[in-house]
Amino acid sequence: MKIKTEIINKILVVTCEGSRFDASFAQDFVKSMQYYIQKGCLDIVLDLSSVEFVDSTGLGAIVRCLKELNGRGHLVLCGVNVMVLSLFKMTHLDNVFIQAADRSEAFRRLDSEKKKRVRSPSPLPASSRSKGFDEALLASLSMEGDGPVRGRRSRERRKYQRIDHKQILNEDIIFNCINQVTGQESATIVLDISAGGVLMVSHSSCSVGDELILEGRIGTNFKFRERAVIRNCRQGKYGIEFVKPSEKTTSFLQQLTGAVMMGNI
Amino acid sequence: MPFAAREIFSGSSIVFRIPARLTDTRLLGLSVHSLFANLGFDKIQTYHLELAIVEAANNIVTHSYQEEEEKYISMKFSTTDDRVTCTFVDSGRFVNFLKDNGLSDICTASIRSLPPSSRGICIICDVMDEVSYRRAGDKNVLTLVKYLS
Repeated sequence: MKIKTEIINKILVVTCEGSRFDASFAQDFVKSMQYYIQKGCLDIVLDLSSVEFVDSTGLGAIVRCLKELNGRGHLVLCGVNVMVLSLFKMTHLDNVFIQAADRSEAFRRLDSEKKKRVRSPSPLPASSRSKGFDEALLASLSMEGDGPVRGRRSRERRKYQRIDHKQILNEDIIFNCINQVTGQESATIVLDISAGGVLMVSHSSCSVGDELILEGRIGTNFKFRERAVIRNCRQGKYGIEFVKPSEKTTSFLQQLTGAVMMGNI
Repeated sequence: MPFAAREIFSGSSIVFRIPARLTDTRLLGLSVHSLFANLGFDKIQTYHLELAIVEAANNIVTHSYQEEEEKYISMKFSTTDDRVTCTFVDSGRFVNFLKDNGLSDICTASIRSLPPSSRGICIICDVMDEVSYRRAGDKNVLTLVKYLS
């Protein structure tokens, strides 16, 4: 088994040439895919038309590729034969992979997935939401960051454009918030985030001007702890500005959000 | 499956011996594929059975032998009136990879938490009707059984 790669309309098309996608090929496949993904090929069509046998290691290699994309792009499988499809079903992966009958359908699927992604970031499954928050309150909030990233507003006063956290992470960002004025400690959910601050929702009542310590994790690895001040408050949502954030935090958040600078303020 | 479709007689057996390497387990897969097909299993069943055999061999290579060089796996394929039995014998470490009975959590809602591995045992347990693994002297014996009707 070997793979042939081509770029068609900025989409990486990977064709498996050979009939067995098994343990003898899986490692090479993963290495190649990691290489292309690291190079920025995030929309991928994997053509399995000639593949008649996939084992769990081959399956694992495709899953690894999907995980490597980490929601930044899409992987569409095409030409999956009925036997391989039966394996996907047996391992409950038939609903995990995006599948298409052939290449042209795969391109269409990719296109529609990309449009979906731009229109609305996928809602989190209810089970992955944090407990203890009033779902009705969360649902009723119409947030500034809802919908696609918009251009700069004419009267924008922030240094950085805030990004809805769902556009950059699959999971909620939850901070522990210590109010230095009242001494209260509570959990807060971040709605939007930028290198300059966050829009968050909290059950504990705070006032504009309160100084806070926000701490928690962003994603799996980044530990966050910054001083912040409440700049505005509306319907349980708080607009928070970081106070002298560390360079590490600023740089991390700039990378995470794409750092859209709003101009000199 | 219809008895007339079987081209292998009850009581037949064949023994395979392959190097314990991931690149060679396909030899076993390709061989048993035609045996299962000749026993009257349909295309998808035959694929699943081949898969189970390959997964079993892969597990022996990675768990029992931990990919050591110069090791071998033997497998006896035998039929009776009502079943096919595939008996694997290896002389590696006894690592009971069946201990979770293939029930590890491979079904998850989130791609992030999808495990890239651990599906082999689930597949074996799903496809075969009986699976057992035991130590016999200085050998490990893995037995997979598929009923014929």
